[in-house]
Amino acid sequence: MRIALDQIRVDFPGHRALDGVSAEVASGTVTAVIGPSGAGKSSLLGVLSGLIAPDGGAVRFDDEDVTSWPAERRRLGVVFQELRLFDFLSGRDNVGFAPRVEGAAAGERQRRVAEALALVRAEKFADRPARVLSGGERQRIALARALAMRPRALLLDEPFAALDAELRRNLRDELRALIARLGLTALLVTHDRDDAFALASRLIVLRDGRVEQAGDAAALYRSPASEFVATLLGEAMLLPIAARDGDRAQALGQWIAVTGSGSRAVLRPDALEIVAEGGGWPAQLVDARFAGSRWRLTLVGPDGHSLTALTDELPAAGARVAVRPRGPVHTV
Amino acid sequence: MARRIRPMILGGALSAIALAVVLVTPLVIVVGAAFVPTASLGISSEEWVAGAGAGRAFRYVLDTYGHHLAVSFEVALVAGALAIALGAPAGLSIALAGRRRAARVLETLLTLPLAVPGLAAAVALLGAYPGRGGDLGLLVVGHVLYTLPYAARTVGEAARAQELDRVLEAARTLGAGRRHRFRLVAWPALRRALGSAALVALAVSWGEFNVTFLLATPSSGTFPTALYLTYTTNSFPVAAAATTLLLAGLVPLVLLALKVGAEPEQGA
Repeated sequence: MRIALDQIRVDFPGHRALDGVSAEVASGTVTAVIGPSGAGKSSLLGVLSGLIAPDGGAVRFDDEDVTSWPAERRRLGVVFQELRLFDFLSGRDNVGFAPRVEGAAAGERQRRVAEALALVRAEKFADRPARVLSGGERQRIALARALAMRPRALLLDEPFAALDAELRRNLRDELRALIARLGLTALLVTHDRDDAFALASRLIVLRDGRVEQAGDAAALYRSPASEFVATLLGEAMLLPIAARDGDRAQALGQWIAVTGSGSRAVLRPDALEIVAEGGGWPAQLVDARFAGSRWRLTLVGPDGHSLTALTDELPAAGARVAVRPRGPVHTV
Repeated sequence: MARRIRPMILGGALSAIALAVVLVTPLVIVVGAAFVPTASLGISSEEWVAGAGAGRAFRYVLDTYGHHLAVSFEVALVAGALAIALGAPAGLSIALAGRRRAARVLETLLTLPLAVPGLAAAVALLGAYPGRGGDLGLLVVGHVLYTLPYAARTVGEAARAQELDRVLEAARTLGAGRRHRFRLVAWPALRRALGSAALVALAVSWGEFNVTFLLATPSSGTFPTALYLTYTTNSFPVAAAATTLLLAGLVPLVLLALKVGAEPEQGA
């Protein structure tokens, strides 16, 4: 199902949470809405799920205007940040809630519950009371509960926020595979760029209730429209452009290939490489830390500019080296 | 390896035990006086004149003030039912309204009677409904003033503790309309709180004295007013027997309310 938001406006007493937001979630894709706290992500999710009535604009599922539909009619599988399980029920009964409400026959209900539990690998602990389940188990039950209703689309609100790093990674990978296998349309709301990149192929960046930029996730990372997007989606060093000559620009005294027409170059640490002296910006290594798979180098470049690079090799301590971008640098 | 008890926990436990002893000791003495000679408890009192034995004091109380027990029972039942019928929806609405100003004002108004002395509330009721003194209906209203806040708070707190507003939203996204949300979510989430609130309301009404003292006539008074009469006009063993009868109704209600309120919810 394709979801479209058209000029959505939401006003709360004293402030406007969403200000003319238009966006689209293509059928069968995962789109992430990303932004800092207060950007309007939760309001957007509320409007989509039907829990918040917008003060203006329209919500469409495929081509049907569903703006006035209540939440109970929209059939969207929502996984809330706080999960909101029914703690007085077992995990299994939580999953069976939607089929029960629909009036499905007992056999059909059991089949759907079993299917959903199997999809998220939650059969082992499903019969325990929801209130005694661990964080990861509750997460799986919440997802199974959403899937058991056979949703038109999944709405995921910061679904991994309460989990530790390893569990988060595992569940993220499982969810990605599951969504792909079921061919679901999904919208992820998050402030975490790792979650967004891990799950979504498209991003909608929200800032102060407006869409700052939307599009392909990799394209937004490489070609952010603003400094806000650049720093939200990844670590970035912003270098002032002193002069331009077509696709070349002078930054920190060196000419580099650039894209975009901005006045600042967005350098990502993973887009920098260490070269022999004279091949780029002269820099002195001041700190090096092993960051798991690569070295994270802190260097001091021209005019005292601090530069960070992620590299495979570690230069000698205190070595004078040169740093240059691997390819054209985007400007904002 | 033996587990060490932290000094703070130990201190807290000892304080709780000391407090319990201080609170319970007078009750033990009063109840004891209903069964054993008061002199053996170190109390100087006129003994029961018409013979020995605890049964005699209880029989006297039941013969003389038995109809007050019946009134107490009736008033507690009606006041408890009204407290639940009016207070539970109010408490739930306030909890679901979240931090809205109107909800906070309503909550304060509902709690206010607890801060007003019973005698003042009774005088206010007599002023508001002149000529209704001694009316059982007005007596029930007086009791509802004090039972309703407990019902509202108990249900409201349970709803807040379980984040019922959010859970109900989740139920909506799962397709549940009003009927299903009430039957499958709100009711199972709150039924123990409702039970606990009802028991507390019964207990509060059962033990209520101040409002009743002014609103009831000697014949329409509840058992606590009879208790007052036993203390002012009878010997200590008779008063002790009356107190024991009052506690016999009160303590199980309170214990049951605590038990019901403490157990987790199970199934829908």
